[in-house]
Amino acid sequence: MNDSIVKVRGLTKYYGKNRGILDLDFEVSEGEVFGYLGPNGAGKTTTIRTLLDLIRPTNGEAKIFGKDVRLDGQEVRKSVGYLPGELALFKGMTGKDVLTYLGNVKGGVDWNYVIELSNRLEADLGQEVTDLSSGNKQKLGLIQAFMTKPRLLILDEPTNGLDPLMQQEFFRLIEEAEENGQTVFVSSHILPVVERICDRVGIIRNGKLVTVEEIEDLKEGTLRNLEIQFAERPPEERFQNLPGVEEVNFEDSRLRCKVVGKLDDLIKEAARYEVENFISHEPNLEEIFLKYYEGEEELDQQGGQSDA
Amino acid sequence: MLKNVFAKTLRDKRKTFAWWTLGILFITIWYNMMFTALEGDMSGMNQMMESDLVKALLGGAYDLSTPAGWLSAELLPLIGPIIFIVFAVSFASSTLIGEEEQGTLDLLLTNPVDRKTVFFQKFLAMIVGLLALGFAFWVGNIIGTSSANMGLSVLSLAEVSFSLVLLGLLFGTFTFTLGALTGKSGLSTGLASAIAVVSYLLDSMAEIVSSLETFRPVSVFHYYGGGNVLQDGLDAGNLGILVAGTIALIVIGIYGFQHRDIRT
Repeated sequence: MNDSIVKVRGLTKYYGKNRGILDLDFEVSEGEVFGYLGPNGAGKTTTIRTLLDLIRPTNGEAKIFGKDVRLDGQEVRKSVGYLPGELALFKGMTGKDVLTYLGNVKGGVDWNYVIELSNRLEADLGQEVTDLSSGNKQKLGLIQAFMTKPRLLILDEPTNGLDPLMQQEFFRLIEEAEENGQTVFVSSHILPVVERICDRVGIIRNGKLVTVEEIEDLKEGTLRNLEIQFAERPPEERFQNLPGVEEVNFEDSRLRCKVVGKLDDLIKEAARYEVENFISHEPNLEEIFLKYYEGEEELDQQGGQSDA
Repeated sequence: MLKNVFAKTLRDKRKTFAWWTLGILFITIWYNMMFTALEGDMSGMNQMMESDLVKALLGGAYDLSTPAGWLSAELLPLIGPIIFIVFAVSFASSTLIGEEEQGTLDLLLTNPVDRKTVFFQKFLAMIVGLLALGFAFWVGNIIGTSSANMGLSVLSLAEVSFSLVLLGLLFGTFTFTLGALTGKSGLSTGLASAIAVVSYLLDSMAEIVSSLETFRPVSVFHYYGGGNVLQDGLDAGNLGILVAGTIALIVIGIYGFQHRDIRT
């Protein structure tokens, strides 16, 4: 029994000189929400379009449900819902027309579910799609991706154009998909989105996969910003030499510091005094992101210099 | 009308169909009416027919005082082909490649359909459109010829309409296939139009420039026949070549379309 839903081996696609993807290896297992993170132009869409057999790899292979996306593409796509990164909708049709058409082409659509999705996302189905705002187009894109309750959802920048309220609804849809055992492959350049919904994340840059890690592991080993409000100011030196605690800074009775890894030592020390408030700022993936990128940029610069 | 790719393509073009059909009815009836209006005043024009320039333009000399000659000289050499070729080329460049250029092809092809099916269904819609146009051309001529008492046979008019459909189809298929291979509608339309113009010039000029006669088989217009079809009926060999060319282009188009990257 093979429970890897997406399996990519040595996947390479050249476009002219620079663009494309290089030697990608990763797997997404059943029921997982996998984040595909990278800046614009990193190769996210190229990877996704290869998975959907819109473009053909120069090298390597991609399998979905254990089947080759090239040879068994039609079979594979029966169980895939896809939201394009740059969604274009058919001209001269209303939202309802678009969904009817795509539903007919896909087959096996539960129309009650489509109506439920439209209500939840507050989609405007009566209007000509060319007149819709990008947010309203995106809603149609999401509905058509989810409408067959596919085994695998491939979503390219799904939160594009969605207002915060609709983003929350989208997060709920992802959670429900996860509960249903659906697998989700979601690309984004927005870190909080990935942080919010994904179990694991692959970071791609300049067409290369920089790392694939559990979201939790990724956060571990990164700096966490903490604030502790004490009733009275405790002796500062008791906090100065705690393992993993850095940049200790008192402002009256408020302690600000950064912690790497476990919080245990700090908490135990703080518990000796009366604590009024404790604020943990979630580690920012942006910082993690930058950490990977800085290294790469140095390499790039070196490469550039040796070329010169 | 949203059942499948074929039906949806027809739906997209329903207004286009309506306008072209009306236009064709108008033009065909009008040309037939003109014959009665000018009847008895043809001697001068027939003299003109003897000039090389006119022969070159019309692809031959026709007796304008007969209904068949009139249509062969006025409607069939240029106006008819232009209508069918322009319709087919613009249809071809706005369906499959049109979707690719608008970016909706991604949304369509990521469904459980194969590219061959999408190609076929869109292509079939073009055939239906051309047949509808051919039908309108036929009906318009029947109405025109009977109201002007020209006495042209319904069968000959059907034959000439059909040869126009096949001519348009070949150019449409060429555009369709080139688009399927390259994803570029400008290139496909431009090249198809250029070939049409060169074909027309080559075929009609060959009438007066004997050295061009050898190259005549290269011209697509040569196989269309025009006025000859109206007077002598369809030529199976010419028909066969138009159909064979179309089929060959379809095969190339489908193969190429299945083996390339879809553009964003």
